[in-house]
Parts: sequence; structure tokens; C-alpha cells
Amino acid sequence: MSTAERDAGAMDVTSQAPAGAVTRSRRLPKEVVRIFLPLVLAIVAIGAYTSSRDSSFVSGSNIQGILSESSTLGILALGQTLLLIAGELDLSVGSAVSLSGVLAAKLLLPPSVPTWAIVLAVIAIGAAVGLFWGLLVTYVRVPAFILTLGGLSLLSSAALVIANSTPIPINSSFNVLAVDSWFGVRTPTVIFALLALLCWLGLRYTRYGRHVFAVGANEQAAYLSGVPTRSVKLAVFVLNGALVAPAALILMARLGAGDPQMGSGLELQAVAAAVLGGATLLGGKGSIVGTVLAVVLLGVISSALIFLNISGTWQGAVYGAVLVIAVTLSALSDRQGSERLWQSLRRGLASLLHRPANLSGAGTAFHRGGSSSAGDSSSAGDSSSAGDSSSAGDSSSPGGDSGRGGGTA
Amino acid sequence: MTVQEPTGVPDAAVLEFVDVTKRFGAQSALSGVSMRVDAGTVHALVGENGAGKSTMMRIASGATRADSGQVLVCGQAVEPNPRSARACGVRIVYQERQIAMPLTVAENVLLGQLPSSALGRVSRRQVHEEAQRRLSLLGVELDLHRPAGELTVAEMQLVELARAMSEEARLLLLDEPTASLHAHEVERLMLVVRRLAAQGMAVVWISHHLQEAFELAERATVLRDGRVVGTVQLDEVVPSTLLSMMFGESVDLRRQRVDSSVARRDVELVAEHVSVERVLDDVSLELRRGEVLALVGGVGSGTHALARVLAGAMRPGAGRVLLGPGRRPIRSRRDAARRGVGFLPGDRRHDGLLAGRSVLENLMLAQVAIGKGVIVSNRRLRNRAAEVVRSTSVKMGADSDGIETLSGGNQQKVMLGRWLGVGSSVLIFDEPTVGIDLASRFELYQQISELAERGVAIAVVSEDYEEISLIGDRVLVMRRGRIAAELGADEAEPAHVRELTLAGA
Repeated sequence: MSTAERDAGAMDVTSQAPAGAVTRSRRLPKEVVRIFLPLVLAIVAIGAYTSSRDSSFVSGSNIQGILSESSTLGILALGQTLLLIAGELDLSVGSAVSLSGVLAAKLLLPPSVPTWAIVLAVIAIGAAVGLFWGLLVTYVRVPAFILTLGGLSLLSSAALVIANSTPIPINSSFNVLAVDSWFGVRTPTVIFALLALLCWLGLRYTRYGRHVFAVGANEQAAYLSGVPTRSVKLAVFVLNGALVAPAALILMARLGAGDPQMGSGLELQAVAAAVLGGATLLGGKGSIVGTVLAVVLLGVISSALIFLNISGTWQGAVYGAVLVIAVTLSALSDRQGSERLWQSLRRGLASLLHRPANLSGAGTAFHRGGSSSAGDSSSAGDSSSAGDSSSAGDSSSPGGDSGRGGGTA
Repeated sequence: MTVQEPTGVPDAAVLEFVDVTKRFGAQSALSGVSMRVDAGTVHALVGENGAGKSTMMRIASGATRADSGQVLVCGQAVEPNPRSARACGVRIVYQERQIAMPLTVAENVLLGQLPSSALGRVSRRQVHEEAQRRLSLLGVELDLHRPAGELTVAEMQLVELARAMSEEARLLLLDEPTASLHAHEVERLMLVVRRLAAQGMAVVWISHHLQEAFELAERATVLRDGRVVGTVQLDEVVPSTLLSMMFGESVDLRRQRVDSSVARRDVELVAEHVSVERVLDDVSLELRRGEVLALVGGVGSGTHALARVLAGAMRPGAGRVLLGPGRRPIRSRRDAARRGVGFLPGDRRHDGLLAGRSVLENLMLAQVAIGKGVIVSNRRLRNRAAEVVRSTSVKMGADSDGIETLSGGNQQKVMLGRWLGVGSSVLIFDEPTVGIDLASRFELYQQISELAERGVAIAVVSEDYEEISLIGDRVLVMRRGRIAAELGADEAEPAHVRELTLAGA
């Protein structure tokens, strides 16, 4: 192989450094190109098209409106992202929002309970519901999907019963969540942003955050390495439950009532947003940045529909279409052939961003493999890498069910 | 499709590769490869990972097209598609099982070939008769009505073999058939293969276990870097000749034994009267610093359960496991990991690796799992990982690459590095070299020896008798959940260990 060829080959992901060497990747992280970029492009495209029809689409007040109305969904999507990364999910959050809203509205009826006590009560209820699901999932090994599907039904029924099937109007105690602004940004947006920042920091920089990823990627491996897998999962369920409270209170404040059906459908939108943002139902993947972008995209779409005079009944269809297209594209892009395309895209973008460093350093940044067969792990190799990686996903992904140590050896 | 010809014509070439070349992009996978496999023989195909064995099999089975050269099956050129290769009588059984779990054994045997009437009705009786006929060709008995999902991996493999046994089958390609089998299952598989060869079938057997090749095959073709190094009559050579051909250098296998002072060293891990219902029965043992203790046993011997009990990953029904000089009991897997017990599970994919995550995350999993403090410093993790990578000589690209980009051997090094990174004083290996290429295997033996010399207490569960005799300072043979025999390093010849292991089975 000539030097030129080797260099070309070494840029490939299959090239290997000499034993014992580590290199830092010069490509942009995969998720930036595959997930963040398309979401941003979609937001910009829809924004540009709609504002070409009606320039007030990009006005400050409309952007404020989009962000603040997205906050409820956004907060729920944060919790769902944590759960999906850990390999679980919770379909009961929509109903939990309804129930929390109804309970908060009830407590606001005279003789009214102080606002702070209501907030605490709603957080406690959400966390308790999450804890309950978490205990059943981690200790009794009930599959979360079915369990929380039951929960969805149970909680929504409870909300209807408690509210006597009619919305309970509220006084102005929670107006701060509906109309007030902090430094020009509406309160719901501020709360969503703060929570998103906390989740992002927590996942990225804390030991617990790393545990969540590990448990989701392979529960058994995490357990055998000393991760306290049960408490990690339990904590994610509790966190997700607690996040229902701010979501519910914001929505209730905006509607001016505790509506027993106000949260219905939100659970699916939350899952959809998390998945658009890069999470999978198999666990171990997902990102807060992606989820936030996806939430903004959904918000922009629903606002654009209004600006374009498209009936609200189409909203579900559009959301659905976006999700279907996104997951299809993502599945297509995971196939072998397109790997090369993605890599060149990532490299191209990276070189645009790091131009000065790249001019001198692109050639030496990788420790080029010695003679030790750069082809070892390419598909030409013996261990059929294509088959391997796909079945790796298959075998370990439903992790949760496969369970812990124990068993018969 | 041809009518079945009389089989067993001696020395008729069933498969011929003539000067075959295959490139993937700029990579040359096979260059000028020639090989001939005769009817009625078992032909071993050996070589390191990446040597080109699987590529040859893919070409022979029509899954890939050769760039140049000729591939002949029974004198006919193989068209590059699996269907026509099948029609020529080529059958391939892959390393991964291809079984429809919810269907019955009989239905799986005839998967894709179900006999049906003109109206498409499947006759259950006909299915059973045909499935039974094929299984008996293998000399195997299986309950035809059982759902295939209940079978062991070895039984599933037999079902796949039976599936391959249609009338016109001439050539059977087995890709790493023993990779996930227990020792006694390997014996059974070899019996079946011998039987098929005796019926006139040509068999190509790919395996990392040279011992298997020597027991089973008449000839072996050695591949290195996509070239045929040579084809040998196996009764004319010794294993180290084959190894030298594979690596291109002479190989010395035996590990330097630790001196006998091991017996006087500190005990690090103690199992006291450990029992697990129906798996382990009153097992006691001591593991000392600086020794390699090999635990060997077949199915039902309880070795894997014992490994998990020692690691704290399985709670014994009775008895205790004590750790360290203070001899405090192990309370949980997390407790054990924190106190220095590293565990490398046998099924890396299922129990060991974080699928879809980076090499870095996989390498630092134990560090992240049991480290102290709330905040994790990425830079510190990276630096630590780089140290570990140097000491374990993992071959890798960027640390942010997915773990799937590494070979099996390098993945195992990552698993080892995971525990070296946290300075484990006890390492428990469950089947450490399953699915690992030979070069990495010997490197791993080397690393195990060095760790032992540095005073790490090591327990290795294995069914590979060769491996045990190579690395074990002390060998415990287990049968039916009990320790049946203890051997010193000098008594642990592979044949002897095997005899003891299979004695009660």
C-alpha cells in the first residue's frame, strides 16, 4: 500500500492505532451531526418558510409564546429522556399531569392552602407515583411499558373522578407561571431552561448521570461493574415523577383551571420529543440538548400551523409524520452503506470549524497504524463486524428483562 | 437440482479455490488463495482474526463475489448468490444461531423448506417424518415438539445442522462452530461431524482451537493476512508448527510458573461451605495472592455459579465468601467491586460491554461505578484510560469510537483494563478466551501471568483444558456442584484434566 493509500485508509474508522495508543477523535461527535444539526435545520427551515408568509412569526412575542407554551411538554420530555437513557419509559406522565393539576386546583379552592404547600404536595405526589412504578419495575421486574400503560389509565380516571369530570377554575395564585417574566423571559421558559440545564449538567458531569447511561446501555454489565443498578433506576423514576409537578402547574396556570384531561396525549409527545432528540427505546442513548431542540421544533411546528392557517386538527398528523420520517431516516442512516457518508459529513464540518488546527495537524492527529493489518476489524475481517454489531444491539438491549446475576449457571 | 449421486467417492474435490483474490476497498482480504477440500474429509481452516477465513467461507457460500480466480463446487463454478450455492450443495452454519424461537424443533429443522400440498397446506406428519429423518442422519435425538426457544445453544446448532442435511448437501461450512459450546457439547458436535464425513460429506471446520483441528480434521489450511501459508496433513505436524505458520514466528506457550512460595502467601478470598440450591454443594476454597487458580468443570459442575458467588454477583443459599486480610464477608456485587474484586464475565456482549457506547466509557465503567465523589472529571477519566490502554496494549482508534469497532481480543483487554484501572486485587475470569483470536489469547495469558507475579489473586473458570494447563498454578476440577479433585500445575496435563472433568458426567 502506498503512503497515500494508507493515509486515506487511516482516516477510516476501521483503522487502528498501534497497540496501547489513544487518539482523540477530530470528528464532531456523532450526535451533533446526526441529531442536533437536522433538528436545527428543520427549525430554521420551518421558521424561514412561515415568516416568508407572515413576518410576525419571528417576532419577539411569538418566539416568547412558542417557548413558553413548549415548557410543559419540554419538562416532561426531560424526564422521559432520563428514563429512556436508563432503558425505561413512563407512559403515565400525561395522566399524572392531569391528576396533579386537578389536585392543585382542588387545594386552591377555599379554604385555600398556601401556594408553597401546594407546590410541595404536587411534587411529593409525582415523586411518589414515580417511586411506585420504579419499585415495581426494579424489584418485581414488571415491564415499564405495560405497567405505566396501566398507570395512564388509572391516573386519568382518578383525575376525572376527583374533578367530577369538569375543569376546576383557579384563582390568580399561580399567575406567576402564566404571565410573569424574568428579565424579559417568561417564567415557564425560565423554569424549563433551568431544569434542562440541571439535567444536562447532571447527566454529563455527575457520577449518577454516568450510571444512568451505563444501566441503560447494559444493565448486567453495569451491575457486574459495581453500579447500584436498582437505585439508579429507582431514582430516575422518582425524578421523572417529580418533574411532572412543574409541568402540571405551568399548564394549569396557563389554562386557568385544573382540567382533568389537560395532560392527555402529552406522554406520547414527550416520548416522541425524546426520541427525536436521539433517545431510543433500547436504552443507553439520548441527550438533553437533542430533546430540547426537538421540543422547540414541535413548538415551532404547532405555531407555524396556526400562522399558515392550517387547522389544528392537522397538528397530530404533522407531529406523527415528523416522528415517522425522523426515525426512518435515523434507521436508514445507521445502515452500513451510509456510514461513510456520515463520516465525511462529520469530517467536513469539523474541518470547517477547526480550520487552523486542521491545516497542519490533520495528518498527524491519528497515530497511523503500523503494519498490523488495518483491515482487522473491517468487514473483510473474520469476525463479521456487520453482523456482530447489529446483534450486539439485539441481544443486550432489552436489558431490563434479562435481569441480574442470579439464575442458574 | 441434480438427483443424488452416490456419495463417498474417495478424494473427489468438492470445494476448490484456485488463485482467488478479494479486495474490500483498498484492503486486500484474500490474495491468490488456493485450497482443495475432498469429499468425506474434514478440512480445518485456521488463522488469526482478519486472516481471511470468513471471507473464504462467504465466497464459497455465494454471499460474496470473488474479484478474480475460480471457486468450484463439485467442479462447477459457484455463482455469487446464496441460492445457487445452495443448489450446488453448499451448506453454511454461521457462528450466530439462526433459529425461530417460537417454532418447534421440527419446524425449525425444515425452516424455509416446509413440505406443503398444492394448496399450501403444511402436513404436520410429513414435517415430523422429514425432520426425524434428518436428525437421525446426524445421529441426534431431539424432541420434535419442543419450542426451539427452550433448546440450549448447542441443541440449536444441531437443529441448524439438521436443516443443512437435505438430499443434495455436499459441502458443510462450519464457522467457529464451537465458539459458544461447553466441552461435552463440543465432543458431541465432533461425533456428528465425523459421522457426516463418513457419509461422504466434505466439511470445512473453522476454529481457534488447534486441539479440535488435530482431533477432527485430516488436513488444515493455514491463512495469514489473506494468503495461504500452507496446507498440512495434521498427522504429520505438531501444534506449535501450526502456530508458527499462523503467526510467522515461533511460539512458546508455557507460562512461567510462579515459584512454590505461593502456598505461603496471603489468602485474599475465601469461600466457606458455599451452597446454592441445585447448583453448588458445600464448596470451600482459598484464593491466594499471586496465584492463578483454575476452576474447570462441564455443564452442571457449577463453575460459572461459583465464579459469580466469589464475585458477589450471586448470593449463596448457605455459606459465606470472605475477602481481604480482615476476612470480612462480601455483601453485594457492588461491595465486592469496591473492595477490589474484578469480574470478567464469559459473555462479553451480554454481560460485559456497554453496547453502543464509546471505548472510553467501557474502559472506565468500574471507575465510574465505584469511584467516590459526585462530580466526574472527564479529563481525569481520559488520562486514566490512556494509562490503562498503554498497560494493556489495547489496539484502538479514538477513545470516543464505539466499543463495537474493536475486535473480540481487544474488547477483552478493555474488560481487563476496566479492573486494572481501579487497581483490583482479585480478578475473576469466566471463560476469558471464548471468541478471542489466538494472538490475543496468548497475550492475555501473558498478562494474567504478569498480574499474578505482581500479587493479584486470580481465578479462571474455563472449559478449555489446554488453557487450564497453560496458566493454572492450581486446578480445581468440579463435578455436580462439588470440588472433585485438586491438581498442581505439573499434574494438569490437558488429557488428564479432561478425563477428570468428564469422569462423572
